[in-house]
Amino acid sequence: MQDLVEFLFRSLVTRPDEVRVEARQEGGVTTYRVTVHPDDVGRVIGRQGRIAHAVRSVVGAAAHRQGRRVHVLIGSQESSFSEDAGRSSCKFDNR
Amino acid sequence: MRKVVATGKTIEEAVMSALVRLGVPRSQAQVRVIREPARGFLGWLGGREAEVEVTVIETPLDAAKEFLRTVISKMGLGQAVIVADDVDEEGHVKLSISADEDALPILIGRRGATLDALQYLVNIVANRDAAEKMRFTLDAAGYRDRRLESLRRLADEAADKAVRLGRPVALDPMPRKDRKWVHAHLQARGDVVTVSEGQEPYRRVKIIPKRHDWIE
Repeated sequence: MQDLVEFLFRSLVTRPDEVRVEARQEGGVTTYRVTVHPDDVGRVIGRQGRIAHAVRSVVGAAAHRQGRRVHVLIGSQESSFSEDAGRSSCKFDNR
Repeated sequence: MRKVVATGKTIEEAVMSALVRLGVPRSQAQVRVIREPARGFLGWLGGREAEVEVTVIETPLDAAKEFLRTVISKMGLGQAVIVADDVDEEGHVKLSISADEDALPILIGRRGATLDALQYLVNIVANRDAAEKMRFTLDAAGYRDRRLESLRRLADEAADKAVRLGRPVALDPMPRKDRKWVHAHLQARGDVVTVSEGQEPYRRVKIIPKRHDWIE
């Protein structure tokens, strides 16, 4: 699953080497925290979050198949994942 | 995008060894010289080898198929086969995905949501480095045609019902593309008008019989 998340993000960015994915297990949910180079943030979020939404749909479908629940959070290397940063990049989670 | 860095005594030699490793002809590769070779004092001793970076030039179509196959495999849905229709004049091409039968519902998703997401992503990823962009539509196991057929039936039945009851009938929420199709389809009938209402992702089409002045 982490492999899929990494591949999707690396395919979208111009600096694939700088994509970092960190997985954390909380209860029944796996959260993937993805960081990309600051210049690439727009490329993984997209206008009105459309790209992020599409990535989450694909990852969500794969997780569903395995009976798992996953969250994908996106940040840049400059912003740490404080609670607020996590929350603000979280707004497409429930679609 | 596949690329390798190779070295050789001459640039030509370095390029050849890179092409062999990539397994592509010269015409499908782009070469960037990283370092010119230099002769040393005693033969090659102290000299530098040439270093080149060779990148495979992929068409958006190749890139699209490769992306889809990799994603589907990493989704745990097995080996998919992607078949492309002929490219039309506008660079529009339909890609049909064949996969295991039990993988299809996941690949398509609720009301085609996963298929739509993959379609959106493949258009971005495959066209990123392309001089001439292509537009891809995805299908799996004839889903798009079947969906259109059920959409047609749904729309016709709801329109009939609206006319019969003389009051508006709302369809279930559906993606923008489907709503657009329903509007266009029902426009052909003279006895109803259609509007979309509600917020995404719950936006839905409402069918209003013309005889009753519901709009005013």
